[in-house]
Amino acid sequence: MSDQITLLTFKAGRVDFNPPSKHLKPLPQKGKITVSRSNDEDAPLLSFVWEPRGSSKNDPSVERDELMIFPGEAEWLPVSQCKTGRVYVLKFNSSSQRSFFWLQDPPAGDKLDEISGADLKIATRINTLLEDVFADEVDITQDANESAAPNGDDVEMADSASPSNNTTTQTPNLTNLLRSIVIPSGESGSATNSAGIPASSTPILNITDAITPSQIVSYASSLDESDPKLTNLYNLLPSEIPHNKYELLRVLQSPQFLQGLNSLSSTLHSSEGYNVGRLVSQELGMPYRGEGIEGFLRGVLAALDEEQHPDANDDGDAEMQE
Amino acid sequence: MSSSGWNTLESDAGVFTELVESLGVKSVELNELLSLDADQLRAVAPLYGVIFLFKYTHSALAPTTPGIPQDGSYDPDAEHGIFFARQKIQNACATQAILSIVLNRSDIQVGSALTEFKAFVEGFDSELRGETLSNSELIRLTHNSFSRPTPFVDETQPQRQAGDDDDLYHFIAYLPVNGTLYELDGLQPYPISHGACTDETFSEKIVEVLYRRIARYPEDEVRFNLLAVCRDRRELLAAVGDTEGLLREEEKRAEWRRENVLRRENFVGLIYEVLRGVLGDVVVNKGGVAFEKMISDAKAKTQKRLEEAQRRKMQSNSW
Repeated sequence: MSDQITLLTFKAGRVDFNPPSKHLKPLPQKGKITVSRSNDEDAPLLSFVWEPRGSSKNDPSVERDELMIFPGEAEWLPVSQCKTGRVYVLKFNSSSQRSFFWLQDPPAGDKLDEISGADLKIATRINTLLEDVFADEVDITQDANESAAPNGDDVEMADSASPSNNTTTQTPNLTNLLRSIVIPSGESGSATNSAGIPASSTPILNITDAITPSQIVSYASSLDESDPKLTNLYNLLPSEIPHNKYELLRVLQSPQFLQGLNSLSSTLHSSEGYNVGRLVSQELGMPYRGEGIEGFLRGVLAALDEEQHPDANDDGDAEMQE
Repeated sequence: MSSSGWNTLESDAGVFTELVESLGVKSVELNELLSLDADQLRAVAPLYGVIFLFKYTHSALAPTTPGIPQDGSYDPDAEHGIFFARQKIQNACATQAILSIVLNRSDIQVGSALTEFKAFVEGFDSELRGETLSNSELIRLTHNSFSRPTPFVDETQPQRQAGDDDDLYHFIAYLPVNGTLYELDGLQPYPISHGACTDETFSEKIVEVLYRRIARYPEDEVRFNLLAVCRDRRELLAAVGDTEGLLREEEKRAEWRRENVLRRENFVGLIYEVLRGVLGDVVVNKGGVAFEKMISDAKAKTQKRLEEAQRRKMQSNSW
């Protein structure tokens, strides 16, 4: 393993997320987040690690959690609906994965619940690194130290307070939180993941990784001549192509069609904050289920669902409101 | 070299033939030749010239401008008797090579737009001709109409996708003009002369010249293509009454047309519809869990490909 270069560390606790009730529950353990990258310039991966610190290190039930993030894949956003603490979410663009944290560095001044200037600087730095792993450092460390407690004493007192009881500390009470946050129905749930590179953090790079060209051809081939689905497909062929199964199958096996799959895959995958997925879903008249190829495929599935259950409750355009 | 509004084109005889027709050129087609053979060249007579295309895998092999040409000799004076333009835009490369042939043949009718263009740049030096060509709206728009459409174009994104190697190619035109075999390469400062040559001796001479050129490159690292610029085959076959040959040519043209039609599609609508169909079957037959499994399998596949690519990269970097 090549050496890791540490880019940023700060104190943070984890927040558990419960999809059915949409509850965010802060976990009391002391922890820290370390953002680092490999020494190897050819590996633009950002390592995002949460691990216990201090007394929490002794708790065997508390596990270190590491995420490897590609550039542009995620964002670090404040959860503004949370009025009782400083909660952030690491939100992935191409999947419904979310990891919530609460800041454990003591805040500036006496505004315990408000996000401070130092928090903002940390957030800016994280987002910069999430876009560009090699981004130059702007000096924020000094400011962070300023607003954080300079001595061990203050830090210890602040950290040792339990989140659910003591309102004079900076720990948030999140039990009533955020019913207004609507998480897409595909939410995988747990805010904490097992260590290593979780498969859920890998974006899909090509539609054909999920549905192969031969599956597509088999499907079209299996349609009966009288099936209206076949007619729909004919109507989507370029106008000069005759409407028959032979020609349809020829098109579906053509290099140009395959190139179309690659192009669309590439556009969806590298959308990176331009909301291309949303644009695509609007163009096609399908529900929006997030960016990236996974979001697109979930949207296709949702469109099928709607078709089959047109009277079901509207789950419409579900997304996190930040 | 910037792309400046010129898109990349697929290097295909069918694309280029329709391109020259759209520019107004009459009775000309391009054909790919599969081997460097004088007989094959003679078989597509009348032959106006050839375009030699090479693709290379390392930019280290990219053609640079040496002090003297590696073969043949510079002919600075020829610049004024010939249409020769410096290459300003990488993506315009193919179109520029094609124009280098058709605008230098008095036996080709190039149509009014190109005739005007040629007259307009007649007195210019090759640099200015190159600039004028790259700024020509007509030529650029026609060129671009043959490029692949990207779905939902976002100008803030880079035009090409990662992994394409279509920026590592170069086109060079060769043809006999005024009794001399000329090599017209927009990256060179002048036309290059390869000695005396007529239409009759062109097929033989060009094969020798190209063999010498190919021999300069390591075998595995460069790929070559040869396109013959010749008269529309259908006219010749019709003239000699070769109905079978004519039929084959018409089929070839129909196939080219079909491929060009497909090239202009982004297929997003069709892709969506077939994916709906496939997913519908998956879910109906195997339930919602199958969908989630499909997603996680897809991620695993992507992961594996990335690891494979990383491994290959590390291997190629090792000493």
